[in-house]
Amino acid sequence: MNSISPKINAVASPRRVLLVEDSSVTQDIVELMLTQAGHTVSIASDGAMALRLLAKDEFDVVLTDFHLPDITGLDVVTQYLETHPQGPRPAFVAITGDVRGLLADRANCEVFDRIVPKPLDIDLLCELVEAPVVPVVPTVRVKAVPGTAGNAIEALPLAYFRWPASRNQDVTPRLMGVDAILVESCEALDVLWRQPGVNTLPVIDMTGRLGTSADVDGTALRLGDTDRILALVELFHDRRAELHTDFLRSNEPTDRLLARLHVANTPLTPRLDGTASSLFAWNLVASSDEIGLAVSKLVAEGFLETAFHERVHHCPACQSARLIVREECSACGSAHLNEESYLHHFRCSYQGPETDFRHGDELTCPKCRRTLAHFGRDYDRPGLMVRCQACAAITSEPSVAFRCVDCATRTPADAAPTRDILSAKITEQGFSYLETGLAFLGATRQSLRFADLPLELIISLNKAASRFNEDKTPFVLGYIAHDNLLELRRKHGARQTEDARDLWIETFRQAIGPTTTVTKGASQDFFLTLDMQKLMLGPNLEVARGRADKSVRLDLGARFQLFGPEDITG
Amino acid sequence: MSAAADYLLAQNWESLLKLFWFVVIFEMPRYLLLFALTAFLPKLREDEEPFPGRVSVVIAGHSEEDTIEACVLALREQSRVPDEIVVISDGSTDGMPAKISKMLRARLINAAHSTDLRSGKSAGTNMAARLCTGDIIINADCDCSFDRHAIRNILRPLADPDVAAVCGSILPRNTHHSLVAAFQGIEYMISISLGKQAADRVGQVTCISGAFGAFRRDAFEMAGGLDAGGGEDLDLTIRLRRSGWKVRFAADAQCYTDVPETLPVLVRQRFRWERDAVRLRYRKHADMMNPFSRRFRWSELVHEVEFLIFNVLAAVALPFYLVWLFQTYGSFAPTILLAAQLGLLVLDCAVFLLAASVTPKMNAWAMMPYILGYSVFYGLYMRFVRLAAYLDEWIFRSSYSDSYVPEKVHNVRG
Repeated sequence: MNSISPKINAVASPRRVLLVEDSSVTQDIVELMLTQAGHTVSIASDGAMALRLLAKDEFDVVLTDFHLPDITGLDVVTQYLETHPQGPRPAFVAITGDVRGLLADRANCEVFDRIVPKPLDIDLLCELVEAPVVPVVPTVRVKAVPGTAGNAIEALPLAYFRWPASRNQDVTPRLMGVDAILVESCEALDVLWRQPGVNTLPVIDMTGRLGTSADVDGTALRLGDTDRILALVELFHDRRAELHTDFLRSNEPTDRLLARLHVANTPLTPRLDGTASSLFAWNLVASSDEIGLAVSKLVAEGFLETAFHERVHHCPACQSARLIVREECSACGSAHLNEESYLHHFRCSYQGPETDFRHGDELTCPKCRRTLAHFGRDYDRPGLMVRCQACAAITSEPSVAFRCVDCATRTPADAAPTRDILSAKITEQGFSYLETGLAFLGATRQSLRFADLPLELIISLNKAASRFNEDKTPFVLGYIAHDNLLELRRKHGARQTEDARDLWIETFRQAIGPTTTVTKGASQDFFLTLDMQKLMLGPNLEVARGRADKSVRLDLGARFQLFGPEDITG
Repeated sequence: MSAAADYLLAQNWESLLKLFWFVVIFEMPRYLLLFALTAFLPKLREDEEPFPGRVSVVIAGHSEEDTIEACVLALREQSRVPDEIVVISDGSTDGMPAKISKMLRARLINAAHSTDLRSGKSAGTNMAARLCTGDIIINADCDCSFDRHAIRNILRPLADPDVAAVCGSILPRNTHHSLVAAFQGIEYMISISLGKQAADRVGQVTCISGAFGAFRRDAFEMAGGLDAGGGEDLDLTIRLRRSGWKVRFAADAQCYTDVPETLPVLVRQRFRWERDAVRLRYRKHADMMNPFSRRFRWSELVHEVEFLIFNVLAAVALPFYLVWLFQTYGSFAPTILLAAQLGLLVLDCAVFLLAASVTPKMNAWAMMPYILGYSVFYGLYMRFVRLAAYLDEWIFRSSYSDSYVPEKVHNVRG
C-alpha cells in the first residue's frame, strides 16, 4: 500500500471546495492538488453554474476566479449572499491577476474573505483551504483626527495594513495590494513579522516607539515626509519586483530576512534597545533572537557578510543580556561591600583595616596599644581594602558577577558567555540567490514545489497521478538542477549557457527513451517517467546523463532529485 | 719555601699554638663543633604522619611581577599543596598588582591584596598572616621556588606541639652564574644546611629565614607577628625562643633562591645582615646576655656567646693578629699565613664533604674546585667585610637607614 490513502485519512478536516474557474488547466491542477490533500472538489466553469451548485450543495470554501466568462466573481458572491442572507456561508476566496485593481473597490474587500494572486501558488491555496473558516467582519477604517500625523498618512493614496489586525484571521491575502503597514501598537510585533509578505512592506510607526525598527516614524512627520513615504513605497515595490517569486511568500526565516534587506535596500543595523532581552533591536520588526539565528545561517551560506558592532554578555541560562553587574564578596557572594583604608602602624608593623584601630575618635594600634597620633609619622594609609558586610571577609579586589534581570541566575564575570552583535549586508552571492530563487541552492536543499513546474508538466503529472490512483501505476517526477549554471553564465554569457543547456536537455531526452517527458523550466529542468519505480530509474538516468554531458562542451553540473507518487501526495 | 716548611715542621705544639693562636681560637672549635654535633649526635626524630592542620602560605613582595608566578606555581606543584595562598603586593610599582589579581581570578591563589604605598615586608607579612586562615603560616619570598616535598617536610617537626617554628633549607639556585655565587653555594651548604643541622641537634636554631619558614599560628600571634624590620626574621625567632618555644630546622624542606652574583651586591647584603644581627642581639635583645635579667635563659646565652666569639671577636681580632704576625715575623709572616690557610683548606674540604653528605640534591662535586678560593674569600675577605659592618653599625647605627625598610618606618621604630 502506498502512502496516499493514509495521508488522505490524516487530513484533520476535509473541506468541501467549489472551484469556479474557466481555465481547464487551472481546474486540473487545483483539483488534483486538493483531492490529493483529502478535500472534495466541485468544479464550475462559469458564474451561472457556480450559483447553481451553491444553491444545491453546501461548501466550506469557494475559490472563484474574478473574471468569469459570464459574470464576475464578485457578482457570484453578491448574488449568493442576496439569496442566503442568513445562516452559515462558505468562505469566499477570489483568484485574480490584478490584486490592486480588485482591492481598489471597497465592495470587494467586504465580500471576499481572501484574495489570492495569479499565477497560482498551489501551496498557498492548500493552506487557505485548510485554514479555519472565520466569519467576515467588515474592515473598520480608523477615523483620522484632522491635523494629526496619522491624517496626513491616511490621506496618501496608499493601501495600508493596520497592526494589530482588526480581524483575527490570516492576514496573507489582505497583504496583496497593500503598500505599507501601519503599526499602531508595539505588541506582538514578532507575530506581525511572521506574516507572509510583511517582510517586503515598509513599516510606518504610528506609536513613536519603534525607532529605526520602522521605516518611517509616522508620529513626527515633517514637511516633505509624505513625499518620502511615497518614494519609499515606490522603492519597496520596485525592489520587490526584483525578487524571485520564491521569496515573496517564503516562510523560511533566512529567506524572509534576506528579502527584507534587499527590498528595504539597507544593511541590517543593530541599535541599543532596553526593552529587548538581547538589549539590541534591528532596523526591522523581527525579534532579535530570530534575527541572530537567521544571520548566522545566512553568513554560513555566504549570503550575508557581517561587521562587528558590539559585544554583550548574556545569561547562560536564559540568554538574556539584561544583566546587573555587581561587585561581590568572593567568599560569600554578597554585594554588600564597603571600601575601607588600610592603616599601617610604622612602629610595630601592624597593618589592617581602619576599624581595627578605631576606638571612638582615637586610633589605637591593636598590636601594641599605642595611640596613632600623627599621620605620616606614626601611620599612613597605604591603600584601600574591601570588607564584606555580610561575612566580614576582606579583599583588595572584589569579584565581579552578573545577575540576570530576567531569570535571576548569577554568573561570575569570567564565566558569562558573550555574544557579538553584528551588522550585516547582502553579498554578491546573496543577490544571486535572491534573483535565482531556491534553485540556487541546488535540488537537494529543496522540497517539492509545484509552483516551479511548467504547466504542461503539471497536466502530465495530473494524468499520471490519476492513473496511479486508479491502478497504482507508478511514476517518477525528476528535478534536474544545474549546479554550474550561474558560474557558466558569468564566464560564458547567458546565451551560450542556454544553448548548452538546450542541447543537454535534447540529448538527455533522446537517451532516456520515449516513456519520459523532459521539460525545460526556468531555473531547473524536469522530467516525468511513467510506469517506473523511483529506485529502478537510477541506472538509466546515469547513462542518459553521461551521454548528455558528453554532448556539451560546458560542464553544467546536472544533478537529479527524484519524487515518487508518495512524495507528491505528501 | 723549603726553609719555611722546615721551620714549621720543627715547631712543637706549644710554639705552633703561639704561632697560629687565631686559627686555634676562632676557627678550629667551629669546625670541631660542626663535626662533633653532626657526626655524633643523633638526628632528631620526626613524625612521618601527614600534618593534619590547615596550612596557609603568605607571600609579601614589592614589585615582584616577574617572580611571583613561578613561586606560586611551585607551591601548587607541592606533594602537600597548601590549603591557602595569600599574596600581598606591598606598594609595587610594576605590574605585580595586576598579576596577582589575574592569579586570583585563575584561582591559583586564594587572596590578593595590593597597597599603593610601600609598608615593608614586616607589615605586609603581618597583614597576610592575619588575613589567612591556616593553623600553620608559611612565610615565603617571591623569588623562591620549592622542591616538591618542601611543604610536606617543613610541616613534620610541627607535630611536636612545643615547636613554634621551622626553618626551611635555603640553597642558591644560581651558583654557576659567577664566582661569587659559587662561593655562596659552598657557604650556604656549610653554614645553613650543615650548620643549622648541627644547631638543630642542640636546639640552637636562631633564625627562621624570611625566605622560607613555617610558624604555628598561635605562636606567631602571641609574639605579635613580625616587628618593623630589618632582620625581622631573626628578631621574631629570638622572641619565640625567649618565650620558651622550640625552633627547628628541616634540612629536607628545600627551597631555592637567587644569591647576589656580584661582589658589591653581596657586600651590601652582608652589611645589612650583620648590622641587623648586631642591632638585634646587642641592642634590642641585649638582656639575653644578662644573667640577672628576668627573662635570662642559658640556651639563649649559648648562641649569643657563640655569635660574639666566632663572628664578632673573630672579625675584630683578625687585624690585630695580622699586625702582630707581621711585626713579629716580618717577611716570614706571609709564609705562616699561607701555612695557616693550607691547614684551613684541609678543614674546609672535610667540612664541605660532610655538608655535601647531609645536603640532598646539591651538586657538590661541581663546586669542589671553588673550595680553594672559598677558603681565602670567607676566611679573610668576608671577615673584613663583617668587621666593617659591625663598626658601621656600632658607630653610625646604619641599620636605621637602610633601604630595605621604608624611611617612614626607620623614623619611628625602636
